[in-house]
Amino acid sequence: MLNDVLFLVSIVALYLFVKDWYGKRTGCLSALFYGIFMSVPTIEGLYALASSFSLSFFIFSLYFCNKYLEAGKRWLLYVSGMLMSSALLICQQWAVGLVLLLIIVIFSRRTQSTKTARSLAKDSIAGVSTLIGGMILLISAFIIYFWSHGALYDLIRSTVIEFMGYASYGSFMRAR
Amino acid sequence: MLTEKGEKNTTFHELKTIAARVRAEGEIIDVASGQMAKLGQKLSAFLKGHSLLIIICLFSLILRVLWIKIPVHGDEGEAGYDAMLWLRGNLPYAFHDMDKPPLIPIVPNIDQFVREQYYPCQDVK
Repeated sequence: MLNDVLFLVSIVALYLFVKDWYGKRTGCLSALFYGIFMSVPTIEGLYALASSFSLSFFIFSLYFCNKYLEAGKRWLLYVSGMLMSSALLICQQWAVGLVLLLIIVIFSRRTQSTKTARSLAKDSIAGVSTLIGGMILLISAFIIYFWSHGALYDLIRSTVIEFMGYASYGSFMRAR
Repeated sequence: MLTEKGEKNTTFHELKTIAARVRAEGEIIDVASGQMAKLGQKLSAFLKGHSLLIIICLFSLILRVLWIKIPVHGDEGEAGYDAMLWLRGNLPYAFHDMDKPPLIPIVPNIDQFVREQYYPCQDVK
C-alpha cells in the first residue's frame, strides 16, 4: 500500500522536475512511461521490492535537488540528501545516485550563478557539505544502531563487501 | 467603590475591548478565507494546467488496482521474514543472513514496526 502511494506521488514529482529540465511534453511522456511500466507485473514495479521502493525515494531526491537549484534554500538540499541515502539504504545500487547528486550540485551552481569565483566556491562547498550532511544522517543512525548491537562488521560484510564481490562479477544477484 | 461615571467608563472600556477583539477576529477570518480562496485558485489553476498529468496518475492508479490482488513476491516475503525476525529480537546480519540494506525490511512494513507486531502473511490479521 505504501509502495502504491509513494509511486503515485513520485509520478507528480517526476513530471515536475522533468518539466523544469526538458519542458512540459517530455515531462508528460516520462510520467506516462513511468506510470505504465511501473504498474505492469512483468517488470515487477508494483511489488514492494527494493528496486521499486528505492526508485520513488530517488525521484523525490532529484525533485528536492531541483527545487534547491531553483530556490537556493539549503534545507531542500538536506532533504534531498536524506532521501537519496534512504534510497541507498533500501537498494545498494543507488550509491551511484549519491555521486549523481554531488555532480548536479557542484556543476549547476557554477553555471547558473553570476557571482564572483570566491563566492561560487563558497556556495559549492556549502551546498556539497549540506548534501553530505543529509546523506550521512540516516546512514550514521544505522551504523550507530548496529555498532551498539555489535553487528557493524556483519552489516558491512553483508551489504558492502559481499555486494562489491558479486557486483564485480557483473551481476547484482547473489550466487546461491 | 465605583462612581456612576466610573461604572459607565468601565462598561464603555469593556465594550471597546470587545469591539476591538471582534474586529481583530473578523480580520483573522478575512485573512484566513482570503488565503483559502487563494489556495483554491492555485489548486484549480494547477489542475487546469496539468490535466494530462492527472489523467496519467488516474491511469496508473487503475493499472495498479487491476493487479492489487497478486500473490506476494518471493523477495517481498523475504523482506517480511527478515522484519519478523528483527522484531523478535534476531538482529539481521548478525543472527541471520541478509544481503539487502537495513531499510528494506522496515519501509514496506513500517506500520508493523510501529506496532511492534509482525504478520508474515498479508491476509492474516
